[in-house]
Amino acid sequence: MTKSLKILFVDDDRDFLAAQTAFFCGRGYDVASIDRVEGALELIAQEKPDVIVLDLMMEHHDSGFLLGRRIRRDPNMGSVPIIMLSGVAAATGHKFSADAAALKEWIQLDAFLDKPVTGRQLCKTIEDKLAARAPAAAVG
Amino acid sequence: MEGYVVEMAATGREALALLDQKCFDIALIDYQLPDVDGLTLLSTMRSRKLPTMTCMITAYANIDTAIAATRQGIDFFLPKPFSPDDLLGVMETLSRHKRLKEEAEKLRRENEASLLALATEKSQTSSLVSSLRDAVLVINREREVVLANHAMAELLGHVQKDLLRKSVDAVLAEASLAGLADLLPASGDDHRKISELTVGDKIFFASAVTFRGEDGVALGRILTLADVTEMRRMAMEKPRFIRTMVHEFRSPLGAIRSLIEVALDKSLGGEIGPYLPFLERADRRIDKMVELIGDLLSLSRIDLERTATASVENTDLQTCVASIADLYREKIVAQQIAFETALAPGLAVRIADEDLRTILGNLLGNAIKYSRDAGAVKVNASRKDSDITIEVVDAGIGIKPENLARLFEEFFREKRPETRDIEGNGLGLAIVKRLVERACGRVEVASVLGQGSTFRVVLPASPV
Repeated sequence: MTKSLKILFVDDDRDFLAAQTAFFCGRGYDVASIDRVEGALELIAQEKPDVIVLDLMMEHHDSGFLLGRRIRRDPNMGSVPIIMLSGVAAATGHKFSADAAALKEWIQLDAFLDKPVTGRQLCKTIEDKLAARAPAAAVG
Repeated sequence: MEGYVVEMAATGREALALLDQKCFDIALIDYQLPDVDGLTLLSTMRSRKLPTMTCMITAYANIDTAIAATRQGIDFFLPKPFSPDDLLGVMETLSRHKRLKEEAEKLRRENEASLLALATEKSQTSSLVSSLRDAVLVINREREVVLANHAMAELLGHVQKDLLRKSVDAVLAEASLAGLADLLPASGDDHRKISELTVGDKIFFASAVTFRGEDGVALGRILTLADVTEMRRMAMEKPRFIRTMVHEFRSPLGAIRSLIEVALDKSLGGEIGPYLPFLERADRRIDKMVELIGDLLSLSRIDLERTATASVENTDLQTCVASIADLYREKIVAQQIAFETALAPGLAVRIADEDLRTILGNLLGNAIKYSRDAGAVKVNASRKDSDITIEVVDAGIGIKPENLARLFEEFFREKRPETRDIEGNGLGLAIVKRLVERACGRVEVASVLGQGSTFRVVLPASPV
């Protein structure tokens, strides 16, 4: 029996976390979640997720980015795919999109999705990213 | 005499009586009169400033008489004996002189009137210019300051009159505004020039035009600086507000969509039961969004009515506090909060009842929300002169000092571990501030982190 893929959500919206947990569990994934940045790194180290879904705005406007950066710098989890969610991007136009592109490059995010995102969209993105990383994972 | 209307007086007195009644163009005066001599009559006429031309007729023509008569302002001197033609010649000459004199007088008056008009216009222009909020500077062809209003003088750090006749280049350089000289080229190009510059923390819109005389010759340039700081700030503020608002709507929408999707994807099997907690969560989030919309509408309504003369009501504070406290009674009991009021008797506040209820409702609601269980909330109110001070004091979690200034901003919420379980949309205090300021009051906050906060509202008392 193959081990289920594990997704770890970091988001301060507990309703969102509850819904994603039910949705992805229903689709056969293992789900872990935390509703604050504090303690997230420790949970990631403990759970060793296959993919991380990170909300951009938590305690501070850049909490998500800083956490993403720290994950990437950690040699034990540096290569895990990170999907960043944001509630501010699209409707506010090009400037933010440009900033997001720069930050995406800086953190080496795998994807940047605008809220409200559907579980199906998220599921598709997660599957794509896992597939893209699969050869590297096999080598590792 | 032909073409003339003639009246006669036999004595000096008769002559004066006639001159009192009528206006004569010419007076022919004999040097020797029965009562007074001609020179005395002439002097009286002059002192009355009569417009009548005068001619002295005398048989004793000598140089002394002529000099004396001329000193009295005689217009002509006719020695006896004379022929009728001599007299007619004198009359014609005097008539002509009179006409010329009248024309000269008319011209003088017109000239005076236009000078007066000019002076009036100049003073109107000057008061107009000095009352402008924009800073105005006028220079002549020699690049000297010929006019600067108060706003400009202040900006340049000078007293208005000290600027006059100074070189504009020196004045601008001295005020670190040398860049503005580019708008005032020494010659040639006289198109309207505009630019934007920052002075300290202010942003100015600068504009320069050439002004010309009636003959089209350039006389100098007018430089105006308009302070657009507030306009710019508002322009920057709007997108920020919209961006925050979008986020405030997207987050709950994202949550609601995810909660519903659990059911749509049948994540928890075919029975409805397991989905109910998710749908209830979605329902609560929709309630919060409806509340948010209500608060946004309140804010927008307050802004719209800000300039309108709100009907001023007198609201009894005691009644208002009691009814608001009733609304929170359940929460006060559930959180075991010691609630007390200390209100000076008979306080009436000059504000609409509904507005005071909103203000107190928000402050009391916050005091309870941010109290720990078994905390204490107190409402104090007292009057000093024409001010009523209302304090809502709690012994709750307090506010970080660095966040105090932003507390009344729309959507601002302190994000701390202690606040994460407390619901709110960050609009309550923004609404409070606007309502208080609309009623000509002020609101301030003092807080010690971990020990509690005091919100103090000062509102005008109703006239007794």
